[in-house]
Amino acid sequence: MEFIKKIEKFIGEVKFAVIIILIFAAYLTYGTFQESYHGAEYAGRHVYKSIPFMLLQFLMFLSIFTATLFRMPFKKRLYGFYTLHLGLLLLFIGSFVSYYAGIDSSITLEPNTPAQYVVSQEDELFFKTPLIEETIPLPAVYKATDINQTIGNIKIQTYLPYADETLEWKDSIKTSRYHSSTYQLFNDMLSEELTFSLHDKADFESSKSLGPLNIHYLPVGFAKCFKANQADHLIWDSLNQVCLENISFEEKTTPTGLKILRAKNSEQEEIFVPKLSPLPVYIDQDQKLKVKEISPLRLFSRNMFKDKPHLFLFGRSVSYFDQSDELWMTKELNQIIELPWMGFQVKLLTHHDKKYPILKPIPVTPIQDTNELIKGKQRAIKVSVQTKAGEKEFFVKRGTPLKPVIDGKEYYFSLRNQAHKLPYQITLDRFKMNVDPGTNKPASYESFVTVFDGGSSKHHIFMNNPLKYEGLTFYQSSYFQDPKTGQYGSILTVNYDPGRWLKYLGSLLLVLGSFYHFVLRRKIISLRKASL
Amino acid sequence: MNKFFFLFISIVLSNIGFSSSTCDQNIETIPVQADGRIKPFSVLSVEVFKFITPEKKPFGFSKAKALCLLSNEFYDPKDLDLPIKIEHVKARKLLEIDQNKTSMNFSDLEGYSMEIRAAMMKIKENNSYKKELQKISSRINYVNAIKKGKLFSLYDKSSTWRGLDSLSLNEFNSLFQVSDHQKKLGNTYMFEHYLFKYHPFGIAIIFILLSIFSLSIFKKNALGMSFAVIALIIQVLAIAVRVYVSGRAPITNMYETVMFSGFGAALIAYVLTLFKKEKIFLIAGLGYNVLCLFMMIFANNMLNPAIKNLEPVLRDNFWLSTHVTCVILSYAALAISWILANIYIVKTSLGKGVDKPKHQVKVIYTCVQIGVVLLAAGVILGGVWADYSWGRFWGWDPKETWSLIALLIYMAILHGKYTSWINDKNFIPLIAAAFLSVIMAWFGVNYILASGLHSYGFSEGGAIFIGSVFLAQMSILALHFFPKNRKV
Repeated sequence: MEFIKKIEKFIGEVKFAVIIILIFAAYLTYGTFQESYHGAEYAGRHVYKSIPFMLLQFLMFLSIFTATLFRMPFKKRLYGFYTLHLGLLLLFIGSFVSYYAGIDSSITLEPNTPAQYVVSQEDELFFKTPLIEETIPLPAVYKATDINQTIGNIKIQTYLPYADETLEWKDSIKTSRYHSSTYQLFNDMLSEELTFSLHDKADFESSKSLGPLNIHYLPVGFAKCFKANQADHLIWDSLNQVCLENISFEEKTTPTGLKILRAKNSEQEEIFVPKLSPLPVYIDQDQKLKVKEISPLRLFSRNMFKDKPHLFLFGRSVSYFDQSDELWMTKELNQIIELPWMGFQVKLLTHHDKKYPILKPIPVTPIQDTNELIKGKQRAIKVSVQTKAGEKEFFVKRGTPLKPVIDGKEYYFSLRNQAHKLPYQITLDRFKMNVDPGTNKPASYESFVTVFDGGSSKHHIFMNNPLKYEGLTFYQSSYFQDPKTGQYGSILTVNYDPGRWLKYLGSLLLVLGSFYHFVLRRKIISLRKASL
Repeated sequence: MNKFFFLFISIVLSNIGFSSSTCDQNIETIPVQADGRIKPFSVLSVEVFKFITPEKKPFGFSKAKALCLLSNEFYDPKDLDLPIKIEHVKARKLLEIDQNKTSMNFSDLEGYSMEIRAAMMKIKENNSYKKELQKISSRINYVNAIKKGKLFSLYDKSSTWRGLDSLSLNEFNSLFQVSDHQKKLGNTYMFEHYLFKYHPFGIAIIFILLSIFSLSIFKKNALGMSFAVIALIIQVLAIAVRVYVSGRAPITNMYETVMFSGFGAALIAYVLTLFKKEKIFLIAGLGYNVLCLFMMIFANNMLNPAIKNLEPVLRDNFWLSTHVTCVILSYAALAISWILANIYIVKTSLGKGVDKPKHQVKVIYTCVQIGVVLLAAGVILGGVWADYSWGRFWGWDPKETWSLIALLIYMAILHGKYTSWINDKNFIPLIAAAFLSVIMAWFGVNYILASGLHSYGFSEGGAIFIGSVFLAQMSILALHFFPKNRKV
């Protein structure tokens, strides 16, 4: 008992308060620097929502609470002190209630599309197997963390909240036609390493646009026919991975304006309608134009790529249309090749027939620059599945759901933000952005929305004018532009804060109390002294 | 021969039509629309040339006339050449100019556009060199925009704003002059013209210095107090004009917060001196006021006096006014305590007879009390505003976190004062040091941490300022803790 009393006395003492306040300030300072280097979300996960910080806040609460108890029973001269410290306690309680029971999330409204899910910053893993469908919420950690949870034949292993991806070559069991290469494309100003792959398991595509330049990665066999002649059209046999040779083309236009191409060599004859399909066509019994779906032949109309910069890469060789010479140039990449656009040069770095490239996430500490992560942008989770052939391990990355086929059955994995379904739908009818006169700078954002809740009601949400609906509050927070349609969409912050009134009451008491304590009390005392 | 000579003269004469007559008249008070605001041509020309050139008198003319001539390039290209500001040493190296040269002619600089772009692409992180290159290329763009007639629009008789690219030379000549129909625009732009023309803050400095001098020399305070009143009135007028012109509270960027806190400190100090009969308050308050005014006038890289449109989120006058005013006034009160503490430290270490610390502590404590109450109220109002507009009371944004840290540090000192830990002798240097947390919250977050929701206030060149304040404060504290005549 003596000991407990001693502790109680120590906690209630002003010296303890000073120590706690200083530690708190030091911790916050650390937090702001963490935020500056690693971004707001990382700082939140690492500092402000961490257990040591919660503990520190609790100790602060305890210190204020005990200190207030020690100064009981009520003394008139301490009225300001009581009010002020009660206000602080309410602020702490309110914040805790908000943290524990509140919702802080957002909703993305595409134009004229009903939305029903609000998403929070935390992640979850959703997966579907032939037997189970499960959603696993992931903790708000700041570094790679083992989850070690097994559900059915699925084992959730490690969660990487911040990761970068490194290129890794995996052995392929497929034939050499599914090859992959890495090139360096550079000029005086920039240099970029580009990896392309024809393998379906690779994390790389077979085409890419770099500003005005379009790059196409094609099977090795294509190089031969690119080189063979200057014809406008080529016919590719995808089965044998070669071009048909010695073809003569005959072009015709139907009365309806459709271009028809008749391709003929000594062995066969096919008809193509370039506008319809790269596959050959035929006329069926009903006199209708049909595509030969099973044909291995593909029409490749090279003349479409003459006007703009298009670069064709075929493993170890390269081809492009030289506009000054009006010629298709095809060259071996055993040396650096100069391209006719903006001083660009291309160099082959690696080429693999029997390997395919994947991007493997590795955990990193994120780095931010002007509010955007420049390192550690990716999120991933390592999952393993028990199959007949043994354990299969892979990473699920945020933004790219996986649909692996395991033991002949389709599975589905997705790493995404935690989502909550609203009991009603919201549609963005119109997004309005006012600009400053004569400029493109936004002056205000406004969302006109309709809430469908059995009936429907229209609302106008703009900065400092949120929508309050069934306990939730919707604030205008951001906007985006659909790159295809050019239409604007809106992002609203959605918030439920049961601790709000406690925080407001606490704030009021705190301000009134400190005003009384520091300003009025002194005046009253000095007035009393003067009257004596 | 004579014929050719005549032809030559007539060409020359036809070409100078615009420049000499149009640019020589009174063009300073013509209202123009630029950057989404209506402002007088004089102010636009000052802002533009301040950004692009180190020349005080571009082409040897006033800035307004120079901008007029440069705009004429749109109608009649004469290839006027202007020296463009090059501030970074590395940029000078890239552009192959002398390390001590502060500028490069536009015509030469334009030839380096590709090199500048290439250098910018090569730098991955956002360092000062990259930012300087970005600035140089935006200076080039600026000059090109002027030459293409895209910098500003003019108000025509049908009450629409028209850019130079939509005006013929004749139309331009008729619109680019002071005329009656511009009265429809009100008179705010005229006030802006006067505000920037007559340098009220420079005049205020003179009166403040006179006041401090009188207060320190004469026994009676009347003269010093009168000078202080004049300085305060000048500042009130200047601030009022700025509020009238911008239509909002005068606390929306670094320049304005420095302006308002300096004025606020002088005002608080004046009131304290009236009530407490202590002239030391006023001396300290005015001392801080002068520091702020000097910063406003000379630290142009850090504090930009231009009136600009606000970020959408800040366009709420009620909360902006209450929250930021509270915080800035608290900084003002704490600044008085900071100056007082430093005066005390310097005086004692110099061995000058000062009265006992107990009295000094009382004086300083008064300011700290005011500052802490205002800071607590300001931080909480910030929470309420954030809750009201973003839906969260507290988000650990660096600006709000640092204002909380400052508050906590002052709270720790005040609590420590109740215990035996902080006696009167230690209280004063601690208060001097504590103000560094305010400097950090006020400037450091923007100039050093530079992240988070408050990023709309960020600008450059402040890190050196913060470093110097820290160093200066540390040296003064060293005076206190290691006095020369200390007996070992």
